[in-house]
Amino acid sequence: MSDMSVVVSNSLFLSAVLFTIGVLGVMIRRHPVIIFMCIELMLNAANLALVAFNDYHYSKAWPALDGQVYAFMVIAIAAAEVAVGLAIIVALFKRRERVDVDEINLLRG
Amino acid sequence: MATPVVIFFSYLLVAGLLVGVSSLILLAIARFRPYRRFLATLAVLGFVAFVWGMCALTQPGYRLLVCYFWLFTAAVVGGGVGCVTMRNVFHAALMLILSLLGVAGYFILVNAEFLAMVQVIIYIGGIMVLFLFGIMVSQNIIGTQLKQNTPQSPWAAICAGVLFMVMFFTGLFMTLKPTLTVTPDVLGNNTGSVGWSLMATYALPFEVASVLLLMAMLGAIILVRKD
Repeated sequence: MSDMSVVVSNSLFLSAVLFTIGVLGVMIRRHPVIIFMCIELMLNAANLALVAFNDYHYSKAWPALDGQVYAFMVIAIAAAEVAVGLAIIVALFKRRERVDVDEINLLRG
Repeated sequence: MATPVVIFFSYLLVAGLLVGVSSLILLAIARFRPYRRFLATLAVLGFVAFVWGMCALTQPGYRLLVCYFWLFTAAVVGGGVGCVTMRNVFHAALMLILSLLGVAGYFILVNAEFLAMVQVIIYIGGIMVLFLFGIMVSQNIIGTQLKQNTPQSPWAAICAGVLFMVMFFTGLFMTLKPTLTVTPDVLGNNTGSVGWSLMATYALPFEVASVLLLMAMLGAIILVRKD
């Protein structure tokens, strides 16, 4: 099925595009929540590449789904990261009115 | 393969896509009214040309697959670009949901149905709802008075372009050994295979991930509790 391998290579290309969009968002935006969302975009790009490679290498000789399991773990880590990160952002908002990532440079409690 | 008809239709496809997308972007920016009508006509014409070229180039059996493929691609890229460019944080979160839905569709296209459902349930149903909840709890997050972009954005664009070029050429010159043909019956029971992998081969990482999630939850509660 040559058509499926076209889908796999295109999803690798899309994964590169999505990762670049995420990197660009992290670099140019200043809002902490949007920076978190761009990190989610990058994690999704990595997941897409993992699953596409798994589909490419899947065969009768190697019938394993390691890439999908790895993507599953990435989703679990992303959930943990979002919980802690949003808690930090909400705690920051309790302390100061306006949150700009360029202004958050103190590490005191 | 490269007969003049094929070349004509592939040019039609690419040109239609470019014209359609660029006029949609201009339509989102432009405010002048007759100009907008012209742009909308151009966008519709571009997408009609794109669909025509796509239908002429694909086999009838693959037409639906290719159609879904382009639909998911548009959702992923459009949602990602919208998430980066939207000024309102709430709108950016909604665009991110669109992008995640597109990635879920891609998971189905590359034979990962279980992961697609996990993506919809955990990412969109859990993580994104947590995002929206966090945005709404701290109301003044939706502050458009905050200057949104850093002054270093041209440098950021250059860095991102270089990064994309590195990834693109790595992928271009990567030689993958041709694998055996995947027969559909091998991929029949995706959920069962993933469950077997998680519970047998990767049982220890699975448990570690659950402990990690518990610790993250406790940490989040401790961070936001009242002193």
